[in-house]
Amino acid sequence: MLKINKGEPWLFWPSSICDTFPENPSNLLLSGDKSFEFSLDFILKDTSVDQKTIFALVPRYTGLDLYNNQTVITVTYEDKARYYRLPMIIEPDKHVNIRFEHKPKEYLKVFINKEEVVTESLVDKTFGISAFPHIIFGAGNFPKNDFNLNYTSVELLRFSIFQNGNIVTDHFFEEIIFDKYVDVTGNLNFIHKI
Amino acid sequence: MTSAEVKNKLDSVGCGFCLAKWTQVTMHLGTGMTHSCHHPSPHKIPIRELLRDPSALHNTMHKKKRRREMLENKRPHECNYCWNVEDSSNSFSDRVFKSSEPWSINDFDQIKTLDWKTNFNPRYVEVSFGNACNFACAYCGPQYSSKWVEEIEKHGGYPTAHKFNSIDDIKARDQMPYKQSEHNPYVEAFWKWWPDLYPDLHTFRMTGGEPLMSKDVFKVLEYIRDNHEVNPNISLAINSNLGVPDKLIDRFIEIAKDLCENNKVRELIVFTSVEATGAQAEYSRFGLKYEKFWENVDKILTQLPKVTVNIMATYNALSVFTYSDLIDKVFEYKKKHANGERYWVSALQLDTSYLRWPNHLSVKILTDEQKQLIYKSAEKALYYGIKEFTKDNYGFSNVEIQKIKRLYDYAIGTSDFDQDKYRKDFVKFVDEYDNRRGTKFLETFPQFDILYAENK
Repeated sequence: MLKINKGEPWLFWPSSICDTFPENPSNLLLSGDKSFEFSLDFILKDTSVDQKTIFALVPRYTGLDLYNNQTVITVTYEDKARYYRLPMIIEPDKHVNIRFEHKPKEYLKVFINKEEVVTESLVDKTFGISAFPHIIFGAGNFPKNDFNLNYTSVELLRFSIFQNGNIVTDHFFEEIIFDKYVDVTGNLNFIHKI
Repeated sequence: MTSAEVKNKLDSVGCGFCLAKWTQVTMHLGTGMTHSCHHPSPHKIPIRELLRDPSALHNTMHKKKRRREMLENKRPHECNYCWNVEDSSNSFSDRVFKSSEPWSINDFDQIKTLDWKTNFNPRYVEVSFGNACNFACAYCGPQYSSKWVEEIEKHGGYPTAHKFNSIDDIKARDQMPYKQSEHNPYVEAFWKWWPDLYPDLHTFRMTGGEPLMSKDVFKVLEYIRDNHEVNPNISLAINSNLGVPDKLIDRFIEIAKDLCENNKVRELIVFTSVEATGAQAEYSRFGLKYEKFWENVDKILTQLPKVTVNIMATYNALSVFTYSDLIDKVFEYKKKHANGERYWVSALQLDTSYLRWPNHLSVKILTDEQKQLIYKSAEKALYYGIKEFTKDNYGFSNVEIQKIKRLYDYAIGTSDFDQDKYRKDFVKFVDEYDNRRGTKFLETFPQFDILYAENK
């Protein structure tokens, strides 16, 4: 388990350290021109009423935020963000699973605890395309940028990415080396402390 | 200035124009050889030219003729490495990169108008004063190690297919190094030239042999200490095996401390070598005392808080079983000595290169299973990767990681390497090495038992 303290976000960006290694970092899949699925199991530990970001896929912001007693899934299509506002279905100390399924030109689906909460046709729009997508956990931005931070405390239980049904990244947050959690697939898609 | 802009600028003078022919030199004073840029082979410096002008250590007639070709829109044949790159791809060749360096590009306007016969003081100088060395590393040879000369004079070359390190070939090419006790006209010329050369230097790097065993190296250090106001912006680098007696290490540290603390140089970097750990490192770097080596690294990084130590690892077949442990050790020292005030970002760097020669020690002789250990090392370095390449971080840099991964790609890459032949040479080599030096290969490297038995 990865315990993220408020104000201390973690990052999934395995291609950020070395240009050529790993050879196929799976953060690069999380772009509008690729098929991907990712799944995150977590427990919210923050009971404050502040705005909270569980995770943010950037630079084309797609994320899970909690505020105004709502669960908000933000998805950026091309350059325009769309907000899917749901009731406050994420409660502190409860195990939650969120899963994104994306097929370019077909659909984007989001499930929370296996319930389909977003279904969007991609026939006439495109999920945000980026050359270097990455995910911040426990914040909406990098601390150095000093805006849209929305820090929260959250425990991550499992994070997985699939490509065409094959698992390419899998984290149970057990083995850690130099502030980096080891990807158990052996594909070197580590998650590290910012 | 972009690489494309530099190339256009060079091409405006000539299609083969390269500033490094003027601005850079490596001088092997022990053998009397010189070359500008490491791609053209070194050529012999004629003594008669030195007698007229000591700057012939760099400005030989041979080199001037190549400069003339460059100024006359021709491509010198000896620079073929770059022409091959330029003619076979859209990539920029080293001609562009070396000319782009701050020690080159600033002299463009002057050099393009020079007469080809005019002498030019280089900005980037590497010098080896001789081959005196207390080590006889498995992959080294007589040109760079006096210990190797002693062994080869006594026992001859090794019984491999190409008579590894046979001295006959070196003698035939007139590249036999001067002994330390002999008068060396090249070193004499260096000292005549030095007062004129020093003020113009951007970078000065001393290699060997073992530089800390050379009185000329200390003479240079003391000269810079005492005349620093002439060139306080010099970037100084020195190689050492860090296996010399304490008094030499301490003498170096004492001078280096003065140079660094009193800003008598722009930077000072120490280059050293190791490519395995423990007994396996001591086997391949014959003469090394492994624990003492790390004591000396620690001493330098502690007593010289601005200095970076760079380990130039010549990764070879004997590195494969312990390189991962070496990465752990380097990481430990990066962490221990990170202080935010070094000349370079890291306190300690691991610069991994693969050994190309001799073939019998190449990683290409390894089994597929053994080659996977290289990949595991690259993985480890990646997990030890630095998150932000700034002085308040520590860890392995992008380049340090890439070079280990590149080594793995080289090891598994296809080529015309004759693995059977060189594995047999490997066994002949270690048998003879053990006979001559009293080492015990299979006790030190039990992991090689099958490969050894199969190729005996």
